[in-house]
Amino acid sequence: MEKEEELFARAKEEENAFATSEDEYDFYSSDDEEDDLTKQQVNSANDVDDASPTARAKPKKRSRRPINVQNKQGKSVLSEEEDWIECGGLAYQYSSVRVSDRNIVEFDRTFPLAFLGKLNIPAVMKESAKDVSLIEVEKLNRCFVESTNNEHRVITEGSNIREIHQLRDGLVEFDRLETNDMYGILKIYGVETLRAALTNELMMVFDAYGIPVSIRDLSLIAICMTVNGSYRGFNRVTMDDTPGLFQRVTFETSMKFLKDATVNEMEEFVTNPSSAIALGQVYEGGTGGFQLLHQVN
Amino acid sequence: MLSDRGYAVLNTTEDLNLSKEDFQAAMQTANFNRESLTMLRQRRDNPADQIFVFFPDEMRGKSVGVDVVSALTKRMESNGVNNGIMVLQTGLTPTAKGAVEKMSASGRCLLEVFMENELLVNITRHQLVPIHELLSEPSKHALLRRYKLKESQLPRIQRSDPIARYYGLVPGNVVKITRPSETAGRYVTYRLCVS
Repeated sequence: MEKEEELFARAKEEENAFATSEDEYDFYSSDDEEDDLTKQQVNSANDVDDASPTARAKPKKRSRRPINVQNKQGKSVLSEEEDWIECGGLAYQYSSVRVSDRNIVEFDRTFPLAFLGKLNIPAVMKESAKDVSLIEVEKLNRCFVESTNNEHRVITEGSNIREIHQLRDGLVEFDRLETNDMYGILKIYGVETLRAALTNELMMVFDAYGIPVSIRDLSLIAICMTVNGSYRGFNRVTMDDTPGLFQRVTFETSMKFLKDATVNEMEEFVTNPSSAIALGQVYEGGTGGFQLLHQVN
Repeated sequence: MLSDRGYAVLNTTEDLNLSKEDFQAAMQTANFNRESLTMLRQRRDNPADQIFVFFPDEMRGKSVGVDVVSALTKRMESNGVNNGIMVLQTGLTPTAKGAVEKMSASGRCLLEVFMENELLVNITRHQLVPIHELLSEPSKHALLRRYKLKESQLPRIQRSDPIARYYGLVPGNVVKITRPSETAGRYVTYRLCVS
């Protein structure tokens, strides 16, 4: 999967910015070359009343719930759900997360009044950055970035083409998505794309072991698998549907097929190439499709 | 999509090259009314053959009911249009689905249903998707004659296949597929649409 990778990198940079910043309170200058500063407003004084955070901040197991900054409509979410997390001995509360025009992530946090003046702001921000996911796609668990000279590929764990299509323009090159999720390809890009993808996957399997197999054979397999508009396995189970008995026998589990054929009194007409070759016959097609008739005096 | 199907679509900022900003502005003036997107387009080679594209207004999170479908089919009939596309956000209710299928089966008006999230990305632009072309009835027969084939001997493509839906194939249609090939440069194959 190809991505113009910016947001993930940005998330990382934010974290670095927090880590390196010396000044506890001046975060507006920490990150000059990029315009993606992170601004945090600490509303300390007035918001203590409704909650008794110290009471609620019992050592709850810290759940790093990913926060979806942008949901599908680009609205900020999270505000309704009160999310208490323990951080550096502090309990705090997200109130809202917004992404402003200049790609600045802003969020408010509420702290108990007792902590006024004792906050370790860099620690709080560092923790916050970990919890804010700038972009999230359902079913994609982890991702790794592979960079070459002028492009970045994002390799993800999990595949969800439909959701990736909903990412905003310019983030991903949709036309160069690749996945090994064959069913997903069939459902979203159709059977011809599946055939192409199958060929690629087959090649990758053999390449990995350094086995040279001609693309002719692999693409024939892919064509064969997709001929009915969907895909069939290329194994002995689907071989059951083939007409030639000896074709099945020569593929795999010969004894099983021979036994079944004997028990069920099946017949073999030696009309298909595999059967004919297995029995040492000339296949009645191609050059075997006719015979030479010579007049004998 | 209409352009790829052979309908006359303006290649200007009005249709194909409409920028996202302009679209947003237009939607704003239309008060985000999806009905305002409704289109009627004509086939390039036969202006009498028209297609409607509907964007029914949906209640938030509610599927489109049978009354909406029948209203749309009435509108198509009164305009003498046989083909229609419905673009939905949440989907159809089961009865509405049945009504659409009945309509299509009767052959009076063919209503295709697409979900909005299926149309966000043009799937035919993907690098692995080869060129698909719908064969006309005479060229389909010419093909079958030339290779002495029966229809059933062609490879198949399902009607529910995204590409088949993109081009609006119906069972019996044949698509010509031109794909790049490492061995032959270009490889032409055909697929028969089956239900």
